[in-house]
Amino acid sequence: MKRAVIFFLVLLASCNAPSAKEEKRTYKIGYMICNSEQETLHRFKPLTAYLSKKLDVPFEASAIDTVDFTRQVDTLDFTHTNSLLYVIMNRNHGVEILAAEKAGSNGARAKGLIITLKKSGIRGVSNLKGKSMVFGPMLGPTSYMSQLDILLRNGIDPEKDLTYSIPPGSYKHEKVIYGVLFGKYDAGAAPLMDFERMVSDGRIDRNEFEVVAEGELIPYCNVAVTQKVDDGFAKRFKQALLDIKKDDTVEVDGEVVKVLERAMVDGYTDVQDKDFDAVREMAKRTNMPPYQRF
Amino acid sequence: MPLCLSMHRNWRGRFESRQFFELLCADQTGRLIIVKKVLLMLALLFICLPKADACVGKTLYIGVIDSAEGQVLSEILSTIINERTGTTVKTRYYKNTQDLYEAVSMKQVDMLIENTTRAMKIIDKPADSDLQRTYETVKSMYEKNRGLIWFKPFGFLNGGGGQSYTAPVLKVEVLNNFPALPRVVGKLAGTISDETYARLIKSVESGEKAKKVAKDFLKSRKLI
Repeated sequence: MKRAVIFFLVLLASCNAPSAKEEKRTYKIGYMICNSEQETLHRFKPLTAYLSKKLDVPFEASAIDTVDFTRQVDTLDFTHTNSLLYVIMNRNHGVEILAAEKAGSNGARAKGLIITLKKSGIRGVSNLKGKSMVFGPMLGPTSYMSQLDILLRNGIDPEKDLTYSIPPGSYKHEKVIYGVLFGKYDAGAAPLMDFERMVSDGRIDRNEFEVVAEGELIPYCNVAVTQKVDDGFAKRFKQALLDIKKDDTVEVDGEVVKVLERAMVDGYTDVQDKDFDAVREMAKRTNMPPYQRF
Repeated sequence: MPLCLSMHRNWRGRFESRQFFELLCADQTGRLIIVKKVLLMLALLFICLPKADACVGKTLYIGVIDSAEGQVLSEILSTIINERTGTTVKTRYYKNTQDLYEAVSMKQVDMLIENTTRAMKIIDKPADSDLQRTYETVKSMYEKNRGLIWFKPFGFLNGGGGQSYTAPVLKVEVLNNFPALPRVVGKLAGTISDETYARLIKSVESGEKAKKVAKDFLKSRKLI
């Protein structure tokens, strides 16, 4: 019986006790799925491998849907999300900001657009009453919240004054832009970044579109740290991100790739929590989490 | 992988842990070893079994009592959410209120359809003839004690076997992760009169598919 008790205690320890060698554990980075799980992992596996090599610590990449992120954040060490998810996790889970991602014409900041087709004749927000509009993912700060803010500030209640919907499945930002291009909707809520990217890829013609409204500039995607990680390691992690150069490479699955190019970013920059106050105010105005009232 | 998790997975699969335990205890005999095996197995299962956590994934689940009312109202709710937000919504049917609320507490249900008469019984409050006051009572108690948010009633008063408000009820966690839902679900407020409600129920009871009945209704009101 004594042996069984000892065995039971050993098993109990293996189930619940933290590793004695904490510093050698695998750190988990949760990447918010932007378009699809495959695309997200394709983009960020090299960055994850680079950080493992640079910091001599194993990292694991996990692609997480926006609607699942707050439920899974307590299993993560680092997060890569949009600004709204950061604000929610900062308030509800104590996640702290480390760095902002730079991409596109506004660097580390982003904004949402309301777009129409030039031939539609819709030239301003006030013309949207009675029209159909398509939005991006509902936890998207520049694909839903920003445009909702524009509409409400201009006296348009989407529930009364518009017919609106959100497309199902992956690649929602592209579906929004194509939905407007092919005339399924009169207007669309698109992030400037994705709009610019589709123009530069030659997939859409900028001259066919009218930007009827632009939201305010707010922080773009960012990297943050959860409460599970000690401050010293978080600082090293942050510095490793800030130090990544355009030509830095890493080998992934037998292929040498440029880390930033594959991640589709221009680099990482320092950012402070107060930089997200604009997102917080917008969330309050639009009754979005973490400030929703029912 | 932690040892207990590995054993748990094996147990769920091909009962390999039984061989594992027999090997482990091969040097002992008699009834005592059987008792030890059972105790160890039970202890491991209690410690290592994952919690039920089906809620707030990419699919939302509506829980309703299996009835014509449950079928048509859940279809109305799931159709408007799916059409307006692109979210996949499925319905889980339950035999009675107890099963439904067990499913809510087990996180198998993200939203339900409830009436104020039944809700007053659930929160153990005496019936109140003032419908608005009853609604405010259940709304407040459900949010405070159960993390469930009552939306504005559908409009008809004949649900729940008498004068009662019937409304969608959603978990706060769901509303935090799907922030467009309050606006979308809010569109259903006051849209179903007693006459319309009777007609919808009659259609389903006479064999028409609840999904079609719901879709036709939503289209007629320009809600989708």
